[in-house]
Amino acid sequence: MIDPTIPYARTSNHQGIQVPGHRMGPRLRRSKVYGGGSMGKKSGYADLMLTPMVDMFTLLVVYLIQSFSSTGEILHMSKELVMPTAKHGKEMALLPVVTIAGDSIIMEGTTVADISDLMSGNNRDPDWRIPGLEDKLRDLRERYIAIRNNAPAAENPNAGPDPTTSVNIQGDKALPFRILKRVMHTCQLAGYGNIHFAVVQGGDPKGTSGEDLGKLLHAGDEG
Amino acid sequence: MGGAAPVEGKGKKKSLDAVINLVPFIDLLSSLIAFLLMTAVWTQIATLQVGQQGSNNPNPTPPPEEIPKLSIAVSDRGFVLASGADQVPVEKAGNDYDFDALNKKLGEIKGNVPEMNDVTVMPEDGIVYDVLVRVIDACLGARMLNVTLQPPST
Repeated sequence: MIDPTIPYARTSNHQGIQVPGHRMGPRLRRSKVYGGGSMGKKSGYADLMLTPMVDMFTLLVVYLIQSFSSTGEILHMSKELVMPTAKHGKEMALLPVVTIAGDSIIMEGTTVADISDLMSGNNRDPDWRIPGLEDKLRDLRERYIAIRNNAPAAENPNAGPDPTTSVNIQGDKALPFRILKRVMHTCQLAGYGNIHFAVVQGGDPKGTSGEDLGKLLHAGDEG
Repeated sequence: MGGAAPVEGKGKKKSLDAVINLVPFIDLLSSLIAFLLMTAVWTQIATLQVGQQGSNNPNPTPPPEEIPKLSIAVSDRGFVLASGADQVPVEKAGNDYDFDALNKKLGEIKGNVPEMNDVTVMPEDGIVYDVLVRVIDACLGARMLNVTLQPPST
């Protein structure tokens, strides 16, 4: 019998108002304590979508192999040395490296001269010569020539710049030319007349940017 | 995953489907990715080759006499391009060097004299390495490949 004075009365067994404390929430209802989970015991293993993961791994490997390069190993990059950028540089060759960073001129990991010392009044050489650097370069050149004479068969005319006449100079962006010209002149005195300025390759001709990774991924999606 | 599982009948026919074991393949890929990420070089290093005035070049190729030589003087005021008696100043744009104008001038010169390959860059003592590199880069961009550095005082 429905009481017309009660607007929320139902004809079914459902009650409009339930007593607090007797109604379970959905999470509690599904819990094992209250016998929930009518599909039986849930497996402890999660399904892993292996196909897209393997696709992604393969794309990553292809991209990383494509951008693999060993030229960066020739130079030692330090925080205090910011190299200039150029668009039309050539690939770096394995040559002796003269680094001008901060207050030091470094050759093969050894500081051969201090810039402040060179520019002080009593050490201004009118010939622009840096004795420590010249000695080190001459020593290195003699060693290269001795190695070459011992193994003449290894000489290849297409092997790139000659390491006995060419040198890499790695300098900071803010390095003034008055220092650079002394380093270059000293290199020339030691027999290294071909100077290669190390720069950061701009313009990205080798396809190693994030944009190229995006293109590669997009191509993978289309495939 | 990795191929359908073979359904064996009751000794009738053997299924041709094979299960590919993906675990070693994923192991290999993971190892490769770790190795390549560790050895990756994100900064590409290049070099700009320059000669020096009076350097002992083993294979000197003297240019023909009729091709004029181009020199670029770099000073605090800007650039001065000189070829023979002609001089073209490229002043600074504000506080910065006007490399766009320099590129344009070099392109015009190369267009007028395509045989011109030799450029002598003469920076003052106070010119910083960055400006020098950008001038050399502009010369190489204009296909003037034999760049020589010479201090103005020599």
